[in-house]
Amino acid sequence: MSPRESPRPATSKRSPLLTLPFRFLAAAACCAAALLSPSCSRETKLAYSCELSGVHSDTGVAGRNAALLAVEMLRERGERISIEARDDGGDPARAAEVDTALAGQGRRLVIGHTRSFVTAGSMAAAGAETYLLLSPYSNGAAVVGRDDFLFCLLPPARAQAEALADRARELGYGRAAVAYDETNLAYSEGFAKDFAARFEAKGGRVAASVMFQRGNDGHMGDKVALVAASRPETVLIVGSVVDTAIFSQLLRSSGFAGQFFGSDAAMEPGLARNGGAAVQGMIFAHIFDPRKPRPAAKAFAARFSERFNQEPSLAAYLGAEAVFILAEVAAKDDSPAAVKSGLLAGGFEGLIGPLRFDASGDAVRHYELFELRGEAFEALP
Amino acid sequence: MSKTRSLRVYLFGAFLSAVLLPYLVLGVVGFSAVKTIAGRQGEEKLDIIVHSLAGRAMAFLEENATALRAAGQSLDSGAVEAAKLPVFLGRLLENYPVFETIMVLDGKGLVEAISPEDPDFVGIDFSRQEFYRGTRERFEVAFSDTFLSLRTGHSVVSLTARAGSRSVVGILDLEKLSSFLVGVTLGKEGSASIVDSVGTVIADRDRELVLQRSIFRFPGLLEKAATGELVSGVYAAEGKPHRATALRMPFTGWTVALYQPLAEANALSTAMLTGFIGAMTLAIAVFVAILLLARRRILLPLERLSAEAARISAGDYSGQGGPEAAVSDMDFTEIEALKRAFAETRMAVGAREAAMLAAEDRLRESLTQKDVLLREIHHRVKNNLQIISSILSLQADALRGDPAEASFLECQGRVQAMAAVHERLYQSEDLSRVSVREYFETLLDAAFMQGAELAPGARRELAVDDSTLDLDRAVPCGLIVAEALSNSMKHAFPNGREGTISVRFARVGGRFELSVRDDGAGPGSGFTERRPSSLGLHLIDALSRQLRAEARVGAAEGGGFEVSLAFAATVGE
Repeated sequence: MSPRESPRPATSKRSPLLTLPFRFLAAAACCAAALLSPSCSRETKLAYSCELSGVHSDTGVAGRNAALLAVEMLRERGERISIEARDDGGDPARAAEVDTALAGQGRRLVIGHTRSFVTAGSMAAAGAETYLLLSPYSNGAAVVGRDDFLFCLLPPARAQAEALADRARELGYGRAAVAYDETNLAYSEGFAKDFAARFEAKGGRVAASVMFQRGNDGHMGDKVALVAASRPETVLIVGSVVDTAIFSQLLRSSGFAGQFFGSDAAMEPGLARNGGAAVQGMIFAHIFDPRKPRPAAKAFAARFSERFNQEPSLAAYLGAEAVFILAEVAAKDDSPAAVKSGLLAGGFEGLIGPLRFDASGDAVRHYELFELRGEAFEALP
Repeated sequence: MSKTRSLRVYLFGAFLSAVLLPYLVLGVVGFSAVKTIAGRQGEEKLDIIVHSLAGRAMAFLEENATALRAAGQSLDSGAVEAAKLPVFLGRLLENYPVFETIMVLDGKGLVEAISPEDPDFVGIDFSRQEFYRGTRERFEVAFSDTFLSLRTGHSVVSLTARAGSRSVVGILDLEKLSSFLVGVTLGKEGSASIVDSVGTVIADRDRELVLQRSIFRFPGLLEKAATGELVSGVYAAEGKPHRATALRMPFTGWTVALYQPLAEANALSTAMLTGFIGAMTLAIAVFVAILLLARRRILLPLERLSAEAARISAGDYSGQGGPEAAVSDMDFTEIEALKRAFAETRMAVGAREAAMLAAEDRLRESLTQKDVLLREIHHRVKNNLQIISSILSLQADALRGDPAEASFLECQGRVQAMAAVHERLYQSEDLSRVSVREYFETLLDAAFMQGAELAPGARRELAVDDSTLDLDRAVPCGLIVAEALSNSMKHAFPNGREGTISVRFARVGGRFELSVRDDGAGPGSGFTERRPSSLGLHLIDALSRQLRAEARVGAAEGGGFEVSLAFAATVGE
């Protein structure tokens, strides 16, 4: 399906009787095309490979549900497409195994993975002879900027980090601290460093940069103490929803009253619930404003709500967008090489906004700033 | 006219009405009954299981809610000192290990204590958490929607019991729910699931489905179950139809669902249908065997008997290929007796016909002999009459110039007319009848030959149909014609007068009509029919009476002379 179109066909006011001959002709044309072109009757086989179990599975599960729904919608429109979802376990080695196995089954267009370090583990195996990887969520420094068979729907995290750093400086903060997730360094470390570099380039100073890990034997308390001891005016936290929420709360309870900045990985509804008052006013950068959806996104959201009895998260929109884009590009030829050419050649309307890929396969999209107010992320001027 | 029925049709009809139809009807009724009963039992079974599972899930929630409520009451009563709160929660967790985490929130929603202990969470603000603001209350406890555990990655639900201004929150691990489903058996492929309000599988025998928080396979079933009523129907998943039953649990928004591939659910009725089809096939096979046996042992022998009857009708009594040729030890006694009776009949009829043919040959030989003899007699009679005629001719020659010469010649003509009859008879196929046309032609030939000098201008005309006459009437009839012709030749055409003598004979209805007419001079003025003046006319009159007819002799209409009479075509009339 083309994201240029609404995922749910607009209601026609024309009489069904009037459109019947056209539908018949269209069906006849499709049948004729199917007979003439073997590719027309071919099924586009997609795979969804993300973290579907465990404590970090919220994003992967939301994306999977959205991807399955997107495929369902395409099939309702008569497109021959299927998708199979697999759990990569949040493990880079397993992700490569899962993706290779899926490619062996003829599913050579893989949507995955959730976190950059997992994506990095699989992208080494991606190639013209194996599979093409389209990641809806990964944009860490470790996975962008390379001419390979990995494409990212999100622009590189560096642009996001720099946008946040610019904003911090615009707000007049001169002393900052950075805390980032030790379990996903492929994403968080580059993010933190890019923020720090930009912040300092703009005349600010990063007084502390700490890694944190929660769960197992890791506790945040001592890391929070380190950040607090650096007396920052603003703090960037690069981590998951829960880590960002807890870190923020702990830092607030230690007396920090400054501005928080967060990464897009935490930009989910759970942040407000877990973060309490501490995360209110936190600033983020993202490419999509769910409060101003395009018609296609609006229609998808309605369908998602109807099916799952809840609003789609940003992860859900991205999961669906990945399906729609691959379905459009792979309609004629679903070989990794052909799809790579198609992705690099075209500009796409996208479900959540216009999209094109640069020569490295990274999305060229514009980050906008948002602030958490209540449970909503509201766009900042 | 009696109606006949084919034995084949009778046998087929008998099987159809006595075996196949009852079998079919009983089979269909039985199959429908079993299918209905099995389906009803299956549905009842599913209903029971669904209600049982929903009940167990509710009991599970209630049991743990009761524990939390009791804990809340303890806290509210002040029985637990603040310093001993972690120990209190630890013991509670030990007693209720299905809780993943138990914590106490203060009046502002901040974590006061948590078990298992985690310093990162103490003081954390959970006032915006749904479990703090929970709206679904049951058993005096607020329930949240399901969500992902941050510690285990399992689906969990929070239970919140009020303890004065504080709250006791238990994060309940829903892994336990799956254990309820382990004992549920629905064939090999059937399964049971508990699905949360957004369609995520939170309990299933397949642990992977739960861990990956998979979407329930039958969204349509969930939609239908949203009414709160027990629903069941056929739903497709991965292109495979399933029989599924679901019940929405109260207040949780969860749905207990059971599903089984339709093919497996209908295994009993399918097996019965297979058995029924097998039995029908067997019955048809037995029927075909019986028909073949009947054909070989009854129909074919009967056909052979029929063919043999046709051969006998055609006169073939050889018995080759007859029914006895197929006699075997396996034949039915009745059929064999029929064959033997038929063979005996054939032999008897054959012998009788042979005797009849021999008698017929003898009769034919005798008839031939008689025919030859009769022909010989006619020949001899004719020869004798020829001799007489010759004698009369010689006598006439001797009396040439004498008035008696004419009498002799007339007499000779009459004898020749009689001889002609016998000549015709012995030359004809039928020795008893003579063709009138041929006979009259002979008479005309003779008359014109004898009277050529007297009436050289006379012409003849013969109009006779295909009638034949027996000897008794041919002779008088011929003599009448001969007399009439002689009369016309002598008197009708004097002095070379030209004219025509017509002889007509035809069957009109039941009578023969004869006329001999000329268009000559006609009778003189003194001619009286009632008093014939010549012997010839006397003879005509006498011969007519012999034919039981009355001759009309006299002037013909339009001129000339005519002799005509009509007599019965059949003797005795």
